[in-house]
Amino acid sequence: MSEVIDIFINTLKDLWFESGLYAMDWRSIVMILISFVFMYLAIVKGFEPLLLLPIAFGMFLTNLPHAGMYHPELFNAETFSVGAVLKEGGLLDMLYLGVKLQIYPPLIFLGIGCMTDFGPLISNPKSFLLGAAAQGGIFFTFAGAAVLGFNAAQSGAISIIGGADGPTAIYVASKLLTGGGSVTIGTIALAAYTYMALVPLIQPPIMKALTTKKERAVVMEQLRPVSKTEKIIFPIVVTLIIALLVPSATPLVGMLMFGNLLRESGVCERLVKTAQNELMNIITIFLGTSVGATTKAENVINPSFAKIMALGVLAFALGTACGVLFGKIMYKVTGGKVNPLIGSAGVSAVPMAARVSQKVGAQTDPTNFLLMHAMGPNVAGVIGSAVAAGVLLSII
Amino acid sequence: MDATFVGAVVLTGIVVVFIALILLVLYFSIQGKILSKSLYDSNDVKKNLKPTENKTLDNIHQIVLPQTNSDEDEVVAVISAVIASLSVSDGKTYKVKSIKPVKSYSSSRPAWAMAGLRENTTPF
Repeated sequence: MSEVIDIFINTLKDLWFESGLYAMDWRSIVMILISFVFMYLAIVKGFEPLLLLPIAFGMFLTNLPHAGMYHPELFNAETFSVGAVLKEGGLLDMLYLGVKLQIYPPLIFLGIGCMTDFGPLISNPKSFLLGAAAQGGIFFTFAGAAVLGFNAAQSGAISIIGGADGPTAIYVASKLLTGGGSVTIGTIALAAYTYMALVPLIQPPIMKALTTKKERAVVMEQLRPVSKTEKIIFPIVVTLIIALLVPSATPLVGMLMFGNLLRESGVCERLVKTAQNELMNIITIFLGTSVGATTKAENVINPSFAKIMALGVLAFALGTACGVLFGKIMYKVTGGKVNPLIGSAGVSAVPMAARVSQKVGAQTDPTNFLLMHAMGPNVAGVIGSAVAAGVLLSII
Repeated sequence: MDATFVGAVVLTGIVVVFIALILLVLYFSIQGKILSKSLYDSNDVKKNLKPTENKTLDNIHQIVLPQTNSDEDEVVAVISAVIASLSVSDGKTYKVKSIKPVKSYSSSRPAWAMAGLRENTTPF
């Protein structure tokens, strides 16, 4: 009888020492609380919930001690092996393979291409220039990150936050951040999606500061109708030109245009429905949760995370400013035909940034509908940010 | 990180992005001009325009006013189509005797344009 009691007590002791409660430290508690904050932002405030909620829950799961769902040591650049992950990894390790092998972001771009109408861009190709100008935020932030002491790979991963494109940021970060370090894909994604949701707060003051009332009141000419032929040619030509110029941008731009061609061809409706819905939803769940799992306490609770968040808002602000300033140049060159406000939509948070242009324009003139004009630079910004990502990957 | 390298990255990045998108601007501007022109030339409605009034609704395109721009042609076509559908439901024949532009003092945009804009922007 005493033996049974001894075994019982020893088992309880072992269970206690193996439990998460025993292993919990202050960092884990802080991270779990931070994950609750992001869950609140996603659910109650509606901050990009489709991705922020999986990221927040991934953060929650990975910071539960001894849960064993994610093992960062398996993804160390020197020792990484898919076989080892499959053999020794947990659920989130296996889902994370899609991030590590750069599979998820191009597939998300496939779905985005299926959902995007490039008509406003085709009817006014000059919008491409505004999309290009807004990517200035990425490169100037690269300089800012270098000043704060980050190395080239980390600076490249941080600066791509300015592209305001979650899949692009995750793609670039997964390619550049191969070793360990204080900057992780999770922190980059967290910053990117948080600021994408804050675009309506970040952009308007900058737009108003850089434009006059007369410029904001410009009513632009109606866009010409775009034929189906043009919409079918568009993805093919864009893929050809971008892939030949910047081959490293091909996975993102190619899949974006593939999705768009499926949509515009009109003969692949089933594929379009799947790409827009089931495929996007599955990838979003896997991507968000596994990326959130990389936000372990040691990566977030350090000064680098604060610097990343500061650089993130700088990237968005600079991108907005560059887009609006180029819009002002186009206003002057065209003799007042282009409203500079649409330049801010070059920051590729689709369609949020275009809505902000519409809203700020309507504050000056309620009858001024800028939304469809702003959609041109907005979708051009998606292409521009993918090209900028390709350039960063080529150089660094 | 070396300042020279940083400067090179910033300059190269901005220039390459602009070059890539300028090529796209040039291509799609030219394509737009070519394809828009070929669509206009093959538009049969334009060839059948005649100045007329008090015509029946059998030939909708003959009701279109002369020397109007394409927006007004489309508006007239839409109005005529609606009236033609009334004929089908009522069994009576309706005639469009004239369509005149009415000056709007409240807005710089015609009401149809405003309605279309609202409909297109509602999903956003």
